[in-house]
Amino acid sequence: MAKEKIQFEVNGKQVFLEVDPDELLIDVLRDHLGLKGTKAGCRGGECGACSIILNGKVVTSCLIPVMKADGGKITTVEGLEKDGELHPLQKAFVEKGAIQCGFCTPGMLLSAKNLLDQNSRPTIQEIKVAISGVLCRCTGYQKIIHAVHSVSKTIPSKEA
Amino acid sequence: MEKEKRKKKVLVKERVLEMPPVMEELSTVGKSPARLDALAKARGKLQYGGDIDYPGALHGKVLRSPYPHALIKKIDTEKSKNLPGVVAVLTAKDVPGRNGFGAIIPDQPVLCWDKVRYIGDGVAMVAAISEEIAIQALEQTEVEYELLPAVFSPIEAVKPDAPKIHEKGNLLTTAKIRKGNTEKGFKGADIVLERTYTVPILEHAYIEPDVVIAIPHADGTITVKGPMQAPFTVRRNIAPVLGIPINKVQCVQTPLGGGFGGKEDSPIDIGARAAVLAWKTGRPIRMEYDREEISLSTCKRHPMIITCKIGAKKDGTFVAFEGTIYNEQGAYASLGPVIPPAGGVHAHAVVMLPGPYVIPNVKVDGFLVFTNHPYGGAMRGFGAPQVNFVHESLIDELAGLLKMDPYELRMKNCFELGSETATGQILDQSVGLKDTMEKGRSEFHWGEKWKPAPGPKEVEKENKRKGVGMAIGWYRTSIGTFGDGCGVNLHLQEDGSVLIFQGLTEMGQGSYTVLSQITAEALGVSLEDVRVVAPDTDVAPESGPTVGSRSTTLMGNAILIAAEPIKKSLMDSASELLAIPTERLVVKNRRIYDRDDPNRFVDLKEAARRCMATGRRMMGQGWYAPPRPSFNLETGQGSPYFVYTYSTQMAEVEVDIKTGAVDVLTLVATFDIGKAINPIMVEGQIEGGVMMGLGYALMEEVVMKDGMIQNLNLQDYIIPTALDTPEIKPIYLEHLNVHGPFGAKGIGEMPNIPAAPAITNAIANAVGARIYDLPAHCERVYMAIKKGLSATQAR
Amino acid sequence: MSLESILVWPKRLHWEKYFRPRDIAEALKILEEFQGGARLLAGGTDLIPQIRNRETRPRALIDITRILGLDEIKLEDGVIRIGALVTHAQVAQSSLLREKALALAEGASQLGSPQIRNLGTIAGNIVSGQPGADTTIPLLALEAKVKVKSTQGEKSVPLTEFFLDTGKTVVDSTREMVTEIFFSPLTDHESSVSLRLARRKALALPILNVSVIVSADMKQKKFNHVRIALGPVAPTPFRAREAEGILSSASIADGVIKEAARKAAQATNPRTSLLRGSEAYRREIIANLVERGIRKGLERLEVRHG
Repeated sequence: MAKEKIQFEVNGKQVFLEVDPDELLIDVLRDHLGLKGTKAGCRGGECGACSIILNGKVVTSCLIPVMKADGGKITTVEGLEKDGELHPLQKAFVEKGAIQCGFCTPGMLLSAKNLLDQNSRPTIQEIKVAISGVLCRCTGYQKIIHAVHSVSKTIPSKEA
Repeated sequence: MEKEKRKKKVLVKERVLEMPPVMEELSTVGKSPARLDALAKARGKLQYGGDIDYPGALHGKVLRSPYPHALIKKIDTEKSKNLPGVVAVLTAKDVPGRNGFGAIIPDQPVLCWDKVRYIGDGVAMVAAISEEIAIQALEQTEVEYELLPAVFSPIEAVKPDAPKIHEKGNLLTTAKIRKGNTEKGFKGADIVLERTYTVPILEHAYIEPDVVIAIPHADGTITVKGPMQAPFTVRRNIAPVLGIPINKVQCVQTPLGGGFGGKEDSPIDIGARAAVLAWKTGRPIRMEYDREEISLSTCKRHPMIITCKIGAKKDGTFVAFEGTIYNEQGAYASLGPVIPPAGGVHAHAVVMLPGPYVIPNVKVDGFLVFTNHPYGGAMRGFGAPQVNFVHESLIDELAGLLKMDPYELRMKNCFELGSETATGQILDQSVGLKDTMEKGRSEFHWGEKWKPAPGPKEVEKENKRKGVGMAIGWYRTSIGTFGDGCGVNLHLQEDGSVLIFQGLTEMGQGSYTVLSQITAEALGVSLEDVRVVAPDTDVAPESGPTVGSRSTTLMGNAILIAAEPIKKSLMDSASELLAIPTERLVVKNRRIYDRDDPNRFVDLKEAARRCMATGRRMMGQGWYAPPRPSFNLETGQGSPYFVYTYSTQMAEVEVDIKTGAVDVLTLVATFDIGKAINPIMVEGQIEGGVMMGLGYALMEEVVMKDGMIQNLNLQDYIIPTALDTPEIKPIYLEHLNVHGPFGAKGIGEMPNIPAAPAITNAIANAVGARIYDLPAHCERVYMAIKKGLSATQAR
Repeated sequence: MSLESILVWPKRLHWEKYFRPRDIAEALKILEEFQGGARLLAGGTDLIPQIRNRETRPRALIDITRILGLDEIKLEDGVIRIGALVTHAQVAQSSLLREKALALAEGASQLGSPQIRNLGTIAGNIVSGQPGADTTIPLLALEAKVKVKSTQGEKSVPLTEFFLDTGKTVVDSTREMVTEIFFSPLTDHESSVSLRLARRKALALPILNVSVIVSADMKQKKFNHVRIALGPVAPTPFRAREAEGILSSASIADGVIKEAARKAAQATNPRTSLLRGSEAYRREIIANLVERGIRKGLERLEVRHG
């Protein structure tokens, strides 16, 4: 199969790739770019572990052919920290005990970030809706909701 | 400064036990430092098994039976093995050693040779250079089956004319309790209630799929690496499967993305298969199960059909209890059968069925039966969630018939210090059950909220109705087998840092952090000085599996034992440096100081350096096995487990009368856990476990039809989402366990046990109708309400 | 042995070609060239899982997400027009739709998860032909029409004629494409509601979706008209015409509402689903939820007109 040339921005950097036209975004991120933080839990768009932010919206990367993302702007969990400084959400997750096995954590962080990018003062119900697309089997969601809520109270409106 | 040595008195009939002195101020135990792997996980940098790239590894895939019960007439691998890119196509004859694996009985074929016993059973395996080619090879492998009649119910399977699944017949094992005389007991009862309940097959649904890398080495050894809760169990299975001694197999744990008991068993399956492929090809093999494949082929929570009868006096005193459990094992033994004296799901379920209540006459019979369904293994609670739903539903209904507050009925009969259990065990220490009930009652405002269940007329006119319910439970710490020990090697380095070599695994529950906290406390170092080496059977002493809520307690004790000689060396060196006798020295917070004058101290790392320089021992080994269980399988009497954790859970629900949909509003979950080593992590276990219990109560079931799972993926097998969460209030009390490090007992499984009946009892309280079969999804609840409205008597 | 019978779910998916046409004409041309071997890709939330499950094996994917002008929601000449690339998230958040077609915004906000709503399109939702699809039901109540285009031209199909059977619509997916969905906005005297019942509160297929549009004179306590759509209760999405007839111009009273709900349930033909519920249960709750929908619609009118 002839390879296709594509490019997109991942975590602030331009990336140029040659891919098979039938590759999925999740596999290109993990295998071509070595960004293993995006996890494959079900490959059916059901568990949310593969969530990334594409062009400002949180989506499940297992359902997206990589060609569809050509020219786009992607944030993965690795892109949350800046110069070794953790994103406030990451700090809160660590401090509030919102991480157990950690497999859903990237999906949760990106879902929460996408929420705070659009709504910096969400209610608890809005937080629950925002993370409802990521399944967690360990935490019972309580401390994740609490962590997101604690961050929402501290960030200035436009910044997250 | 003079420290008061506090001693707790524990009553055992007329004896008084003295507990070891409890330190007033602990440095890290009892505090909630962030878990050690939190940072790596938050950054997305932690490598799970599936994140490890192994260039050059072949891809392994299993060809699975599409039939629940069939003879294998012929397997033709001519076409498949000659496909370009295929390195090997294996069948049963290619298994080098024992063609069988299993956590207890090795009855599951690596590859079936004569017949298949469930849909998903392994028939052939392929190693190829890519996944696509491996799949093509599966397609090109031709298998001829001759269908056999299949059986899908344990009650059908024990009948004499049922199709035989294994040679020895379908009844795998029995277990029982016999206490007193239930016939007489029931005669003396003022009220008798008998009910039958069913609980479904459940899926663990850990979010990280099973994956393994098997690497054969030139020296005749093999490394098997992946997520696993029980590396030693995996090793002791792979060795005979390959026909090599145990010391030539190395099993290494990668961080688990959830286990819940499922990864006690599934890594044996995927590991043995990948190991055989690696052995035969001489190449590293990577095998990964897709989500659907996990659902299809790996172990499940045992479904059960349980009939129970309870007799009581009209003042609520229990006089007799009888129960029969039909425990469906499925196609293979996995973790079902009895491991003497009280291990295995079946024995545990039988022992737990009468609940945490004092009952003079008890008769329980449990039958563990093979069927052509996916097989039961360990799932959080190991038989307890099933039976807890039963006894808590039964007793709740009894309270209604007696017109008693269900809290009062339970309080009247439940365990306290000194109580005798249904197996004749005297609970001689650490019994905080009644305290959890009282605490729960006050936090939940049970007294204000509880009202008797409504009659049909009240229910009919409403759209939504609220109700409250409660359940209590007990759960063992440890696995109740004779071989329940665990070992650890602790190494202090000369700069004051510490390495822990042990074999219990981290699956999110926080074992590494908790064990490190215990180590830090024991050695007087800081938490960040301690590093747990990932469990590796080549390096860690036998530790047993990470199951049965045993990790903190058993390994914690082993660590305390291992710390002793190290501490002695440190004290001896410090004593020399300070010229103070060792009896006056305290090791704490990286310092060793004079108890009477803390300003006279030496840094711990200086003492460590001196130990190194003077040839003092800087390592310790600990081996801890809990007090031996004494359960007699013949009489069903004895002490199966040495200590129990207790819990009371209370739930408030709102039921939509017109649809049967249930909203859980709040759930207060109180625990007696002995000692919370890391309180925030204890809360995390409670909250997560409660949600798993909520899933059991309201939505989870593996739906079977003709032996085929109907809901293989996570769209159709539904677990709770963030929108399904109630407000959960986790509370823990500390009734110190004499046999636990700092008084601790286990917590991992207890939370998901009484949660389900607390919720279903709340539903009954809301709508005046009971659910006898889980899950209580909207249809069941609606139909129960409807039945209650149309009938006026209980069935 | 076929792939279906060997119980394997491949990680790698396969298609030979991936096209990204700039306009509809180009998309349709490629579609026709492949003579059934190509599928249109928008959100992919149905298509990609179908490819993974081997329900469909297209040789080519035609990604229409680059085509300009298809992602708008607009009110034009008194008609609300929703483009083929408009996502559920857009619909759920649209202030125009929340004001003029609340049932649609509600329906779109209740399905899947934020991730699925950010990807999936309502056009894709109706083209799936599922009788209970979350945006199909409110669109049916809104009496929406669908623009279907092929290289031969364009037609407008009322949603009532759009569905042929479970999973089957009038759209010939080998040559045709939905380009737009349009309907008249609700008036001030019409309220709407979408109710959903499922086994958990996110990421669950519906046991039942009900959309009700209520027009009533609250002062006179009289219904003008009511439109009731529901699914899955039959092979295709269902309008409860008989029930609507009972309510038309009727006085608002418990009895007539209950009667209409009963009639709606009687006219349906739900099947027993192992995962979502038995026929008996579904019939019962249809009546209850239709009744609830009507009452909620009245309540919303009440609130608006005080």
